[in-house]
Amino acid sequence: MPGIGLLGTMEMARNAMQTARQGAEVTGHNLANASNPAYSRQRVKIESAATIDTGKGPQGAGSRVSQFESIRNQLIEDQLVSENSVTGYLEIKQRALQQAEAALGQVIDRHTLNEGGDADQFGIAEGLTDFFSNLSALSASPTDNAERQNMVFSAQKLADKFNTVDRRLSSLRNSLNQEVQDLVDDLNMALNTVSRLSINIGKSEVSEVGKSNELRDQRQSALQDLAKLVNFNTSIGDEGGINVIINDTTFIDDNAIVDGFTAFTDTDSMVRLKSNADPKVITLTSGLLQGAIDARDITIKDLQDNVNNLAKELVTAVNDGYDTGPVPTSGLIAHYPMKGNANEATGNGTNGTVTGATLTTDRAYRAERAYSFDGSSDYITTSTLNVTGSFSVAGWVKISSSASSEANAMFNQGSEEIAINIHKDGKIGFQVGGTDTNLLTSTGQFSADEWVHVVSSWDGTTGKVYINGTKNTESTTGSGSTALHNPSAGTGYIGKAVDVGKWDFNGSIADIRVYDRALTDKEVDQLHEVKAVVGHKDGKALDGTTGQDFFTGTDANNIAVNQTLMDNPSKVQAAGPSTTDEPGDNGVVLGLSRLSDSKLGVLSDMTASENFSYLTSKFGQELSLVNTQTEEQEAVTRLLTRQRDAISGVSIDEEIANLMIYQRAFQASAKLISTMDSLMRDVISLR
Amino acid sequence: MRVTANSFPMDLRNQMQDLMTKQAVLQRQAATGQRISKPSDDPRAMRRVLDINTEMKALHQYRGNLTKVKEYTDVAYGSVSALKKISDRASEIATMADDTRGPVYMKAFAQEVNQMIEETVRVANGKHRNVFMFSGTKTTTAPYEVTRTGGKITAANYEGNAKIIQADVAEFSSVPVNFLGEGAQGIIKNTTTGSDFIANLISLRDNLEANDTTSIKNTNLVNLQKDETNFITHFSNIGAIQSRLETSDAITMKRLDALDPLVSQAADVDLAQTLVRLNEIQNSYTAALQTGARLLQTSLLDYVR
Repeated sequence: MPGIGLLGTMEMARNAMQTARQGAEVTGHNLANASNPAYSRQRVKIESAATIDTGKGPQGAGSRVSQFESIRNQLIEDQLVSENSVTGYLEIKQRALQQAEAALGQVIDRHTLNEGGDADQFGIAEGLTDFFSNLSALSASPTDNAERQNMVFSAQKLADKFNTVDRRLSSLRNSLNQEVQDLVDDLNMALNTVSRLSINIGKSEVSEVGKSNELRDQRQSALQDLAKLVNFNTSIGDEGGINVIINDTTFIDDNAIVDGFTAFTDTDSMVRLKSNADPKVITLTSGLLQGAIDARDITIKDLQDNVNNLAKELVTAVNDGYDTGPVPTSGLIAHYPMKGNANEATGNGTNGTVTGATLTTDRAYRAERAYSFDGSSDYITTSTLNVTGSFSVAGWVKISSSASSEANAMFNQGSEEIAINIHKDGKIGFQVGGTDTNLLTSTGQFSADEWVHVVSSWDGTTGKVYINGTKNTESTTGSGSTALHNPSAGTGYIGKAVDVGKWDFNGSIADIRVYDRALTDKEVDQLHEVKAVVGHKDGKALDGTTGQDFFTGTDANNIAVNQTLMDNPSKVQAAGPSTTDEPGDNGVVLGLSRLSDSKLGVLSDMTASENFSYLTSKFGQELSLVNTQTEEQEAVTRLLTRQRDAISGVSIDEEIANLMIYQRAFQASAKLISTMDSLMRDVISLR
Repeated sequence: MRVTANSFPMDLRNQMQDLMTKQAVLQRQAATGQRISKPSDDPRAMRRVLDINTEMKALHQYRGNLTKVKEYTDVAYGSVSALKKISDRASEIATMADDTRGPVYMKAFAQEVNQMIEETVRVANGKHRNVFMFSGTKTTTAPYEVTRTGGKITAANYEGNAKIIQADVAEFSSVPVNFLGEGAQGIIKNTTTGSDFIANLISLRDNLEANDTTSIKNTNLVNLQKDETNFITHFSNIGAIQSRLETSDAITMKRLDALDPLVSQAADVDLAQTLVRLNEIQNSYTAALQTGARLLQTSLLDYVR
């Protein structure tokens, strides 16, 4: 008989029952893993069994299970993995920045009970306003010891707040350091897990019959865990295994782990990562580790640096005094502020070398803010200033009444290529382009023994001399026969001409600035209008003593009020620096109280309070951005998870329905067996 | 899209998380009355509020300074009033001391003027809050050091200086805080007008004792008038300063009143709006819980036998 025969049919039925049973088993497996988030649902793939060749064509011989199929979409899985890196990065960064915000401790409380008085919430902003307020109150009654004590205490409160904020931010950076260290261990473990699972997958699939779905599910989960820590790329290796590459360095090559991570401490005591096999610093772009590193080294460090800068400049301004702004900065090629030394402040030129000149007080009686020249051998050498076109030279000079009546050089470049000379009869000589090009003002423009502001500018055609902010003389020609012209470069001197013993300055010079362009009239006026405000160090206490700093320390970490003043507030040097100022004077404390309104160049042309509110809001923006990004990331992750779940998730209703299908199929096949069995009996009982 | 065993509970959980977060934020806003409290809530508004608070604190301090300076001017006004009263009586005496009075009267007048000298020096050496009022910035030194002969003051030397200090009562606006006994605008001795009250009184007393009615009429009376003019000028100066202080105070108050709403705009929350939104979200939350609970319970398993 053609066909598969009775026994064949029974076998076919038996196979069908097996198929249905396996189907039910897989359904059961799905149901058991319904709540497993890493699980991808599986299906039995049922195919027709091999056909039998009959004389009348091929005849089907039942069904068989060809494979167990795992339903997953690799694209969505890969996207989930890479998004997990971003999630990890943002999560840790958000947490760290929120802690930093709490460390900064600046909040708004609208329910302050004491209107106009001390705020209930005390941040650095309140500390600054209280301090300046108390300075102002003291200026109205400078000898009042109660006001002095009040002011000193409010200063200490501010200093304490700086210390606390800095300490908390340092501690936060340290704990992030520790976290990076700990995460490196997790990272190496995660790499090992991926490698181990991949090897096992390879081993179990070596027969190439079907995929090892459970192991693949586990590996996908392990890849997601790894992604949360670092961002990486995967590719298929030469032998079909998986490669994991981080920052162009291969860590897993064809399933085998070939490299690992080590934490090391850099020169700033910050923990970083490097690879082991070929040690080099690894830069990541995403993941928990990079999130911690970025928070630690960029955002939180910026915040801490900005707070430190504010504290440092506050200490300097209060102790040493400050200059009000604004001043022209564009084109400034050399600046000698003469603050305790002849250093060059812009970094463009070299520091001045002092020969014989000594430090003295400036026009505001601030100690060591100007140089004094003796008229015979004192000078300062500046760098070679290559001023060969337009330029301006500005500065303060005080010529002595005992100076010689000839030219006293304020500034000289090269062999009189540029020469600015002060005469004690009140005139100024300005040479541009060598001897015989002297532009002279008239006499009597200023007096000896008095500070005068002098600016000399050349724009390529016209030379101008400004005295005390106002233009005095301008001309294209000098008193000689040669017209003014562009100078040649050469060494610069403050206080003498190039030749020995010529034009030696007798008197004091302060704050020399050289620009590579001709300043405008307005800019010259700005420079002249700069007020030199005296700091605490140059003030006088009630008993006439002087020289004490108000703040000790150099930055937010160690700023504190001088203990001498804390112990005895009468030692606060509130009186002005002039020798005729008496204890009832308030010159210094009035100047310091006006610091609250003064925009300082070192604080990006902002007042102290503005600078603080700026750095607070800048940090707030960073955190606000991270918050927004985290929310967006959450939305993206939810969408991808839902999509993944739609494809790979187990639907209980669906599985129950499938179970019923397999149950019926099994029943049907069982019925077929009993039918065949009865046919068989019929055949056997044939006589 | 397929909805699986996990996806629906996950969605429900996410929705509840979102609603709870929103509720927490709104509740905090309602409790504090503030829209923002930390820098990250709204960085721009935070900066604005901090800057306005700084300005408000400065304005409060200006008002504080104003009050202090007002106090000093009040005390100075009182002293000048006392001196004017003395000068009025001295002028009276100088007028009455003509040839119609006998030596007994003149002696009596001299004694009264002597007491007036003592009183003048006392007023000039007056202290307020433990500092001398009229010695310029030498506030720990009494302005007048007297020399006596036979118990009577024969000269008073000015030991103070001529320095006036300023205090800020508004941005770019400062007023003098102290007064001078002697100087270009001195109260006792005004070097610009030439009046010198104490020296004048001493001269008057000596002339009364010497019965020198000519000098009294020709010199003392004339000088006393100069002194009186000086005092009146000081009255009007002090009055002008006080008027300026009052105006400044009024302007500062107005400025403070204008600033507070700005802070409120940036930082405060509209309570009514917040409570309405909180109510809405609470309703959504309850609805989500109820519907979620119902849907979570049923599946095919309940119906398959």
